[in-house]
Amino acid sequence: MSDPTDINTAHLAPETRERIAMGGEPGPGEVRHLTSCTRCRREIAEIGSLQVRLAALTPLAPSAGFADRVMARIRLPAPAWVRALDAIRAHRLQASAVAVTLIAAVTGMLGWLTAYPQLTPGTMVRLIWERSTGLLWQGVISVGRVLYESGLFAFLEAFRADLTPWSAFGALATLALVGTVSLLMLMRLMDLSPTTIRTGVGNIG
Amino acid sequence: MDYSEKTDQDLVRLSRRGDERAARELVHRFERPVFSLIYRMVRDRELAEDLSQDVFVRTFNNLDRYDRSYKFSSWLFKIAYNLTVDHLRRRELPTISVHGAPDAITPDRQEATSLTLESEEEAPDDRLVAKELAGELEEAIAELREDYRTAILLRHVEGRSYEEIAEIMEIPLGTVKTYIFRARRELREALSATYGEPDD
Repeated sequence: MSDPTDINTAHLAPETRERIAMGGEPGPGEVRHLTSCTRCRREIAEIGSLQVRLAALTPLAPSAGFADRVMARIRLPAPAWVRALDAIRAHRLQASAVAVTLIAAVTGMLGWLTAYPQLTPGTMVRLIWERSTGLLWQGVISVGRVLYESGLFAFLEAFRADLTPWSAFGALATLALVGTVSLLMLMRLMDLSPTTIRTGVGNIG
Repeated sequence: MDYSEKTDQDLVRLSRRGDERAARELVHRFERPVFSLIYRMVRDRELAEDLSQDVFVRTFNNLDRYDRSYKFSSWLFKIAYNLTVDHLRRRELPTISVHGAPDAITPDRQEATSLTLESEEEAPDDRLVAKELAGELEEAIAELREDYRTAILLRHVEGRSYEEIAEIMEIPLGTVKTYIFRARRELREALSATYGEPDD
């Protein structure tokens, strides 16, 4: 039945009416519309009334012990420490080797600290640092000496002295040829073609 | 550690690591909403308990498949809805809306598709068996077709947004709006018939 006071043709959208009915603030335009539109006001009041009644429905609860019955049926993943124990059980030999090594290391460390009580942790770290950097430098010097004694530097020096533009070009061309042939042989060995390489890259991307 | 203060996402994360107390807190947090929805759908307390248990079991046993970009509660309600609807469809229950198919837009189409069927398994008196569901509003809700009922309960009882309802029921947003609009209209008509309120 039409309402004589309902002079609006463009009513509020259903979502707007619901928003206002459920406590949302109407905007200025909506307020203006509602002032003159009985139909929208009535609709909002009805939605609001229904909302109140639905929200007040008795909350229903399952019988006591529901959570226990659920918990008895679910399979949760084992906690991390249980999984770790399982992993140890599954790899007994490796785990035993790691344990023996750790025990030996700790025992040795304790024995050393007992025998040399003046060795504080700070002193030990400093000693280890000095010794390791000393070893590193000795290694670098040894490699340099071997290279020098092998005559490699003398050969490179002689090569540089004899280098002409043509010989440099020849060396580069030979290097490029050898590189290309090596790459092609490698691709053939690995059963790769430019197409499969492109596809593979595409898939990764 | 006070689990009741943790967010759903935190509890899910802990449950995934095997924390039983976190899982129990999630069950406590959602047992009432899930049970209420299912009970109002199937109108049978024992069956609702069984289905609710199945919902939680399925949820926890598939926790590794849960996508954290969704709300946990939406995922849970989705499982609840699917399980319940599957069950109802297997039992071929109970009514079809008097207002016709949800996709019927024109009045002619609505009339052509409108009918009311009552389950042969369920006598009208059986609907009043559960004392908890004996109120007029509960009766009116029970008369709604299952998808209207789910939509209106999720919207007005559980306070879910339209988008969440669309996600839970796996239907377009527009269909959710249609369902809720029609469910409201049917409820209003049913209640105004009971109380003799003026009709539109």
